Amino acid sequence: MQNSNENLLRVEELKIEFSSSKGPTRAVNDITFNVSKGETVCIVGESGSGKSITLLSIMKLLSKNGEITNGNIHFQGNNMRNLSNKQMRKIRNQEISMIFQDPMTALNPVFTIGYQITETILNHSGLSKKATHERVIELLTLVGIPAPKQRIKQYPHELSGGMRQRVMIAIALSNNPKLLIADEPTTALDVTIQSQILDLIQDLKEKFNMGVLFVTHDMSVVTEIADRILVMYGGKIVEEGTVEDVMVNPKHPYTEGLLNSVPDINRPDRPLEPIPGSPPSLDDDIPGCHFHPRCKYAMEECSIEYPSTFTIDSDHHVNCWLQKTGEWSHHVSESEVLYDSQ
Amino acid sequence: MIANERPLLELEGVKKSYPIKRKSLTFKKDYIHAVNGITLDIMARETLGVVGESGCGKSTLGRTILQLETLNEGSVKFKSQDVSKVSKAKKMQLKRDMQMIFQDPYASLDPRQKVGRALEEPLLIHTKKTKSERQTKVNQLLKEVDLTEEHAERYPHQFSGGQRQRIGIARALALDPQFIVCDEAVSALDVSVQAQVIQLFQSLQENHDLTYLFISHDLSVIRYISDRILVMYLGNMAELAPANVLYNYPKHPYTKTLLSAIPSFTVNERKERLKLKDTDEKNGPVTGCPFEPRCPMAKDHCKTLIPEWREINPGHFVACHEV
Ligand SMILES: Nc1ncnc2c1ncn2[C@@H]1O[C@H](COP(=O)(O)OP(=O)(O)OP(=O)(O)O)[C@@H](O)[C@H]1O
Ligand SMILES: Nc1ncnc2c1ncn2[C@@H]1O[C@H](COP(=O)(O)OP(=O)(O)OP(=O)(O)O)[C@@H](O)[C@H]1O
Ligand code: SF4
Ligand SMILES: [Mg+2]
Ligand SMILES: [Mg+2]
Repeated sequence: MQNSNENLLRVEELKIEFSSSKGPTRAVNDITFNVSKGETVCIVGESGSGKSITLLSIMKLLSKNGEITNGNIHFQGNNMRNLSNKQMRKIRNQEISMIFQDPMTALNPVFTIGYQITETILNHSGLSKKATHERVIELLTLVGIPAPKQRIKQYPHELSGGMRQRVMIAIALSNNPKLLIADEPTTALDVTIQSQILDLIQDLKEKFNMGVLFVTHDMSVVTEIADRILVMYGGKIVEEGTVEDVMVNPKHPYTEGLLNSVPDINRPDRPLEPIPGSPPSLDDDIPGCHFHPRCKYAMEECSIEYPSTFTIDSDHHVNCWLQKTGEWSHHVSESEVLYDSQ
Repeated sequence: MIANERPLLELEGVKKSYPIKRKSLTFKKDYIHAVNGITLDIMARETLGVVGESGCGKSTLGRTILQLETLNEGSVKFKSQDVSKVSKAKKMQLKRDMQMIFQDPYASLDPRQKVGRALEEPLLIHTKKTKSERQTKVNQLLKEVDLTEEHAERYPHQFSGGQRQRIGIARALALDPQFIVCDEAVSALDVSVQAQVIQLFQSLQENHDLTYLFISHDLSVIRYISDRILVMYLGNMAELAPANVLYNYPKHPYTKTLLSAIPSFTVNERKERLKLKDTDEKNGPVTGCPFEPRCPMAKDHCKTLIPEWREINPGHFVACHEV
C-alpha cells in the first residue's frame, strides 16, 4: 500500500502556527503522513487537536492569521507550497474536493441548492444543461435527499441540518475528485443515511481509485471505512496504524482512553470513562509528552522528553515511552465485546 | 417522575408547516408539514430524547417550543401557561428559563462578536449583574465546557468545530435556565469531550433540576442520557416509551428499523439491517399512516386509516395498526 509512486498526497513535517496578540501559537506540530490512491486514511483525535487545521492547510484555506511555518505538502508529486493561488483554485475545482465541518461555510445562503450544485458541475464538465440537471437530481438522490426535484428550488436555510450536510457532500462528489478530504461529514446524519453516504464514498473510491482523507470522532465510522488511522493529540500524530492495529491493539494511552469513552449501546449503565483533565490549550507549553498531565501511566521521563517513535510492526507506530520496555498492553474495557478481530 | 405532579411542559397538537415554492400559476399552495401534531408532556427534571431520520422535524419541534417559530396549530404550555399568550414581562422571564443549544453552532454565533462578548450579552440583557460579576460568570461558563479564559478574546471562526459547539452550550447555560432544547448538542464532539459534556448535563440536572429535550441521531447517546424517548416520523409521533422499554421492546416498525441500524464496533463486519421500502413520496399519504409507503409490515387498511395514538402499556405509546 505504501508504494511511493502510488502516493497521492504526502504531508511532510508540517507545522502550522497562528498569530495572536500574545504571539504565535502552534496548532500543528511536525506531522508526516501519506494517502495513497484508493486508500482511506482516518484522522481521529480530541477536539482542538488540529485535525481541521491540517485539512484546511492542504487546501490552502487557512484563515488569515494561520501560516504553514515548516514542511511540505505534495499532491501527485507536486509541491503545493509552490503553487500560485490560481493554480490552487484549479486543483480545488478539479482534483481535490473538501467536505467542510460546518456546512454553512461551504453553502451560499443567497442561492438555491440546485443552482449551487449546477454551478460546480458546469464548471468542470462539458455536460449540456439538460444532462447537468439530470446529474444534479441523481446526486441528490444518491445522498438520500427525498423529492430532489422540489428540494433544488430551496435555499440552504430551508433545509434541515442533515440535508444541508448532504447537499455539501453531493457538491464535493460531483466532479469525481482524485482526493476527497472530508471533515466530520456525517455528524448530523442518522446511521441509515450515514451508511448510505459511506457506501457512496466507498464506491467512488473503488471506481475511480480516489484517495480519501477522513476526519471523524465516530469510532464506528472508522471501523467501517478506514484502511489506516492516524491518532492526533495536541497537534501531533501519536499513533498510526491499520484499523486492526489501532482499534484492536491500541498502544497509546490516549487511544485507549478514546476507545473507553465511547458509549456502549449494549451497556447503557456502564459509566462513561472520559479521559480526566482537559486537552492542552495551544498556549500551554507542555514539556515531554503532551499527554503526560492526563496519562495514568505517566513515568518520570514522560515529563522530560518527547517520546520517540516506536515501531510495533511495519505499519503500526506509536509515540509513547511505555514502549521502551515494550510490556504495556491496552486496557480497553469490554474489549472482547467491542472488538472481534478474527 | 412523581405521578401527580404537573408537567413542566405540555404540548397539545403542535403543528408547524412551511409553504413550498412552486412555479405553477395556480394559487394552490403545497406545504411541508415539518411538525404535524405533537402531543406530549415533559416532566420537570426529565430528559426526553427525540430521534428520527434527518428532516423529520426534530429541530423544528425544538424551535417551535421555544417560540423561535410561530406554530400553526396547537399550544405549548410552560408551567401551565400558554407561552404564546403571556405578558411582555413574563415573556422575558420565559426567554431566560427556556434555552436552545443549536444544531449549527456557526450559524448561531455572530461572526463579528468575540466569544466573551457573546457569552456576556445575555447576562447584560437579562440580569443586573455588575461588570465584574459578569466577567466571573463568563469565565466560569468557559471552564465548565472545558475552554479557558483566553478563549473569550477570540472570534467564532478561530475555534475548532467542537470548541464552537461548546460555546453554544456555554451560552445556553448562561442564564441558569430550567429547560434546554439540546439539538445535536454533542454531535460534533469527540467521544472523550462528549462524555464530559454529557456528565455536565447530568450534574446540572441533579443540582439545578434541569429538564432537557435532547435531540440526537446518535442512538447510543440517546439511550444513555434519556429517561423517555420519542420517535418521530415525518413530523408525526411514531412511538414514545421509557428508554429501556423502547430499546428492548420496540413496537413500531420504524423504531425497529432504526434500532437495527445501530452500527457495531466490530472491525470489518457489518450488521444485517432491516430495510425500508424506497419511495418517492415526500410527505406520505394524507389519508393513512404516514409511514405506510415505506413500511415492511403495511396492510391495506394502513393506506386508508390513520393509526391511533395508543397506550399499549403504561407509559408506552405507539401509532401503528399492526401492533
Ligand atoms: N484562526 C485561528 N486562530 C487561532 N487559533 C485557531 C484558529 N483556528 C483554529 N485555532 C485553534 O487551533 C486548534 C486546532 O483546531 P482544529 O480546528 O484543527 O481542531 P480539530 O482537531 O478539528 O477539533 P474539532 O474536533 O473540535 O473540530 C484549536 O485549539 C483551535 O482553537
Ligand atoms: N425555514 C424553513 N423553510 C422551509 N422549510 C423548512 C424550514 N425549516 C425546516 N424546513 C423543513 O422542515 C422539515 C423538518 O426540518 P428539521 O430541521 O426540523 O428536521 P430535523 O429532524 O431537525 O432534521 P436533521 O436531523 O437533518 O437536523 C424539512 O423538510 C425541512 O426542509
Ligand atoms: S509517553 Fe508517558 S505520558 Fe505520554 S502517553 Fe506514554 S506513558 Fe503516558
Ligand atoms: Mg475540526
Ligand atoms: Mg435538525
